[in-house]
Amino acid sequence: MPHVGDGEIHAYLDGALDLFPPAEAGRIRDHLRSCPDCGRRLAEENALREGAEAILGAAGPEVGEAPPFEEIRARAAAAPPAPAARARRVPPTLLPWAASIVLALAVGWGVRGTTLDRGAGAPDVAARSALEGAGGRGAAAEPVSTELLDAVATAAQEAVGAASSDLATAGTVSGGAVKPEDAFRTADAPAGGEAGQAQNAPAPLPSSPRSDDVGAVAKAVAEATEEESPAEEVPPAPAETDVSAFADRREPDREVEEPTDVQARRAVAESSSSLAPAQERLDEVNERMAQQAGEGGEFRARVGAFESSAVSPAGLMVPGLQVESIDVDPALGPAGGLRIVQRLPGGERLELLFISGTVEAQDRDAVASARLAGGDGLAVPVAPEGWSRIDIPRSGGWLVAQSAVPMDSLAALMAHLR
Amino acid sequence: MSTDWSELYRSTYPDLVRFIHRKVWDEERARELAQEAFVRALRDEPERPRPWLFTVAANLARDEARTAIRRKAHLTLLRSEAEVQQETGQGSPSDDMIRRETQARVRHALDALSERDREVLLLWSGGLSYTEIADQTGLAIGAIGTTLSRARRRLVAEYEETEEEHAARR
Repeated sequence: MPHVGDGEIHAYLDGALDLFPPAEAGRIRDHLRSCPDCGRRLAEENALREGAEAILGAAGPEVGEAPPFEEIRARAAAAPPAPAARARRVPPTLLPWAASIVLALAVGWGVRGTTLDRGAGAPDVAARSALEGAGGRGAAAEPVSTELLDAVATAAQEAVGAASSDLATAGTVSGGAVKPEDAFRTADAPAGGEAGQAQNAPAPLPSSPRSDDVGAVAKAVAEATEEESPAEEVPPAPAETDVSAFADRREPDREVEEPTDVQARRAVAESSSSLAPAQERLDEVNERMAQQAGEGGEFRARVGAFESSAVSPAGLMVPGLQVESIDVDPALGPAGGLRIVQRLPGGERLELLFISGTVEAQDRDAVASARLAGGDGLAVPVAPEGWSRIDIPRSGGWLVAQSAVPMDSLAALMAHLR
Repeated sequence: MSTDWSELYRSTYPDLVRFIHRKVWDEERARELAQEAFVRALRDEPERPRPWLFTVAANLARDEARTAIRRKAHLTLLRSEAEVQQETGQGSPSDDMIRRETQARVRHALDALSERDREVLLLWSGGLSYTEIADQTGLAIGAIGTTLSRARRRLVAEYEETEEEHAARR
């Protein structure tokens, strides 16, 4: 009996096997119960499935409380009609235009017909006669019969009537809105195909081959990429595997477990919060800073500025993170600066460099570029490759924050500066 | 069959926010777009509202992504404190950092999937059934499991790879 495919295992785990033909679903269930190899694969695929859900769940977001339903209903009531409805409605002023175009086409076709009816041996006698006879203008030398013109006019009127009727029907039907189900059905149409497609209705998903083909191809790809079962002995499985425990119960708001690495990092983060700098630590830092600055002449004045302005050592550090070192660095900016190192929950270094000096707003881009290049006499070390870096204007200078974490993470941390 | 819109809103809104968030990666915009999808659904009253909501949400998210690309061109290296603070929530620094970092890695892993695999995975994760996913994507029901299997395998592999790279940087 052939083994079951990965897709079938996932369909089983997702509780979708009932959508398969009954015989096929029965075969899959029976095989999963009786085949030790597939029983083992079932467990592996279940772990993979739960891992994927955990990863997606860990990305958040915190949904928060939904606005009251009445508010949404009020917004819907106040909203203008769907653009689709307006687009599908044909303005009355367009109807005469449509009628004249249809009429012109119909007459043109009728005249063409009379010419062709003369046969190949009498080329455009009528046209030449029209030019030569009776002043050559305004009258047809070989007039099209009245009956024919009447017939053409009648046909044109009928055509216009039918078109108007169609247009009016379209307007009536779309008076409410295009049913999304219709839009679903046209999902395979090329982009920009059907005029008046609802703007807010579902747009076509990426073009796809026929679903049957997709299924066949997807299956072939899955089978081709499926790893060979290891040659070594697998642990003996029970003769009958209880597979029912794996089956999915679709619940709208499933709790997902965080991936283990996130759990670990969160644990470290929670423990590190106890390492927040206490007041004594800050006092010690201030004292050290004052001592070091005392050796630096001009920098002494700046120490006072640090303490009296928003730029204080405490204001340059991220609260709640372990402080590894704080040093005064006379090389950071014309009046010196501070070099602070904190430890992130994952153990990465967070370097906070306060550089004294002010920069006019219009020069900021140039200064930032110079810093990134490490040039122009600014003694800011270039961040190691792969590090993120943010420059933040502060009173009396600049704060450069850099660490080996993604930019978003660094930005989130910097938002917590005082 | 008449729709209990209030109940549908209560049960589907969180799934819809998560679904959109995994496309636009902006929590506030995800909430706004989910509400907009419901406003449109109430206005149009589709017969099958739940899959309809996800399709409209996908379209809104796609439009949002295009806008974001244009907006990105205006970003500069320098960011004021106010801008940074606007983008972050009220959580602790560590929580914010972990959340941002995790989101970046999940986003990276999702980006590694083909568009169709990603769509199927997100629709499933949003709570749609195989039948609804098949209707929406044009895939045969028999192909949904195969697609999900491949998408999950790739997602986990990519996510674990970023974890290894992250560990190597420390």
